[in-house]
Amino acid sequence: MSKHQLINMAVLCVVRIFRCFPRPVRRRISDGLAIVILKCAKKTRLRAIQNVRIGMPDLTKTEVNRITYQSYQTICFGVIESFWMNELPIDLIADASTRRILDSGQGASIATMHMSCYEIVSLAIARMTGKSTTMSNIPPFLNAGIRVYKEAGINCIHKREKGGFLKLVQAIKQGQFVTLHADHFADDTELTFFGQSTKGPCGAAMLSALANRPLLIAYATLTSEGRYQVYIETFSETGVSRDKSVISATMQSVYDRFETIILQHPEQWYWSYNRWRTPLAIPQSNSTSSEATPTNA
Amino acid sequence: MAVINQLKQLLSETLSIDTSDFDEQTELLGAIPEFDSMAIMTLIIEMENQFGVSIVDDDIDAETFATFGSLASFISQ
Repeated sequence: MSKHQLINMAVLCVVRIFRCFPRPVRRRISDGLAIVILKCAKKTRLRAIQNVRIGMPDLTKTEVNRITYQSYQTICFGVIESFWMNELPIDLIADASTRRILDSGQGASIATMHMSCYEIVSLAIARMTGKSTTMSNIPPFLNAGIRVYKEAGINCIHKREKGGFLKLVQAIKQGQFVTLHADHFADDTELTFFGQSTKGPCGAAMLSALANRPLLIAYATLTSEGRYQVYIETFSETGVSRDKSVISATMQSVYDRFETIILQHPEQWYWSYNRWRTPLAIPQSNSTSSEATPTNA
Repeated sequence: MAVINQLKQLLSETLSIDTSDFDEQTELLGAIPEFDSMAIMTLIIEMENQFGVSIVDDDIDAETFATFGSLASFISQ
């Protein structure tokens, strides 16, 4: 059996084990696993703490730790729930003009973030319009991962696929709503994020510009009742201009909006990702006393 | 020939690569690592500016950008 087949089987086993339990129990197991992983993965933990301090410098150590662990728990649960996406309870929240765009059948470019369950926005779009497309980095050999998109009615183009970006342009022209994560590090443009100079992707804005379609922003939060609330906003109803400076400025505005959203829901964003590419500050002294696991975790 | 040379120059500036050996068969999309989404966007904008063409939705597909020849042919039309 090849390594890829073994990985595939391992993923399927984990998914099947989780599905043996009711959802509240899955959540408790996932939360427990998240704590163990974060406590064992020192670099991941320290990066999350460092990033939370970048985003919210006025928080106390206790608050920083709380958000670090709670956000990691939310993300872990979201990753696990991705494997049965089509069963997840979703509430879609959008204003009238955004709903008009979604109902139009003309397609749009949607910029989203890594919050709660990563693909929940694509799923919400699929349920509402039946025309949802996204780009994924899931290894082609991971059939278990690829299958979930098909079952959820989401068209998925692999990031490494030849001409993948142009296929996204074609998809929008055919009336698809293309959702791209836009909060990760990329070399497309320079921007400022939580006061730090960094770089980011322009994919969502470029798609809007090339396809001459609206640009939307969407994000999802997991409520305490276990429902995913998907918020969709119109960022540019007429689409982005085909001008590099306008595209870059648009992405900066998108990131300004991302900041506000993250600050409203800090327990939902993926803080442990190496977003700013800053060197990891490893404490010299024993810092475990300041990294207490929140008791409600 | 002027279009060919201008296109080579444009590709060289956009992708920061040597295009002096480019010919009709030279593969672009999927063959050159620098030919990513940002490069495509920049190319389209610059082609519209420099060649006075209007690149509409239908033109933006993989076939147009497949090779140097297909791209040059598109601009010449």
